[in-house]
Amino acid sequence: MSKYSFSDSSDFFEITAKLEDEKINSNLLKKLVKDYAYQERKLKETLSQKNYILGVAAHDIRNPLVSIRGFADLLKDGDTGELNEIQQEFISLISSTSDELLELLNNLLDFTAVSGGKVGLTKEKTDFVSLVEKKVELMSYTAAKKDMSIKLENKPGNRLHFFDRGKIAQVVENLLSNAVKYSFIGSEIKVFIFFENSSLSLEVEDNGPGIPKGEEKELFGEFKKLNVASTGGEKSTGLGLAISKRIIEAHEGKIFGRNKQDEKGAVFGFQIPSEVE
Amino acid sequence: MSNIKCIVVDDEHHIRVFLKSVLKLADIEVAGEASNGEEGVRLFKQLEPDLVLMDINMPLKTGEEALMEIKAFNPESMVIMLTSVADSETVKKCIAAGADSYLRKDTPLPELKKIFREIREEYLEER
Repeated sequence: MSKYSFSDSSDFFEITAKLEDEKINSNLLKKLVKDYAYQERKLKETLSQKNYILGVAAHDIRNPLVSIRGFADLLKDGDTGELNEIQQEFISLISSTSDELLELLNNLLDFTAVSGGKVGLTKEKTDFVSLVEKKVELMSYTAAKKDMSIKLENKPGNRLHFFDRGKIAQVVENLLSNAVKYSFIGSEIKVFIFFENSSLSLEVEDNGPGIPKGEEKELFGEFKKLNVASTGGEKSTGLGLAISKRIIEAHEGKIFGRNKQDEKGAVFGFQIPSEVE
Repeated sequence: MSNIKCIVVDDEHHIRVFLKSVLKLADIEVAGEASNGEEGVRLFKQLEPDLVLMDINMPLKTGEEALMEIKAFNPESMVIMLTSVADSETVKKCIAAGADSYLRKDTPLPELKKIFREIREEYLEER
């Protein structure tokens, strides 16, 4: 049986008009498909250019910056001989400025890597306590410059957990780095690890001014800078916590920040489902 | 006193100069340096160092290719891959291909000094 049947001439005109509409729609659809394919190709080209630029930033800017900071630190530490007071001041500025630039560059690269779509995870068996210990040790060098100390308060066994080692290490480093930035000179930062039945969590307790009232919801926003100054003049990109949030959420976990109840300071941490080996 | 002998293979001159300075501070003898993987393998065969610091992305021969040739020539040699953060996937491949460890180029100076000193001490203890 025919798709269209008509009994008089008005039906004929109506159906002819319908066929004409279908033809127009079909042509429109073909054009849309063609346009979509073109846009998709252009998008892929743009993404490829973006990755190339990021590659240049990663290799051709970061590595020279690493060397500049390294040479400045060698001079500053007196490894190549004594410096006078002015030389010491200049070289300290070169070192700290390179450090800030490196942090900014790394944050921008990390943010680009975790933004726009799903965060790719490469999970592997990892000793979480040992990972935190290493990060605490590394960050202690920076803390010592501000006469601070970082103490890992507990070590609940050396079980292996299953998560993206590099990305979780990045979150731990970020939380410790923030604590050092915002704690008062000479104070102690406390780190706690908790293993529960189906989760692992980390808390970093700082001794700074705390989270300003009303700004709790801004903590993990992109390019958000709180109305609070670092205690050593360090700069903030406003990206570290946003990157950390994306990484923790990719692990189906939760990240949080709150003020301490009885004293000044804040507690930042995260909890992720723990797949124990 | 016996010492540990090292070569540094990296295509960036400033990285080689920086690493050589820190290695010397940690009492590790820098026997030579190369700016690409091919030169690195040739230098390794000529000097037979105890330790190789090897960049990953290099012209002529990549760090991964050079690593495999070095390990085939002397499986006992210690090869540490130099990496930036973005190279993490390649690092895993290099470890699977026999690299002994890896070192991030942006490791802060105090930690870098400590790592090199520990490498030296561990090596000398084993000998």
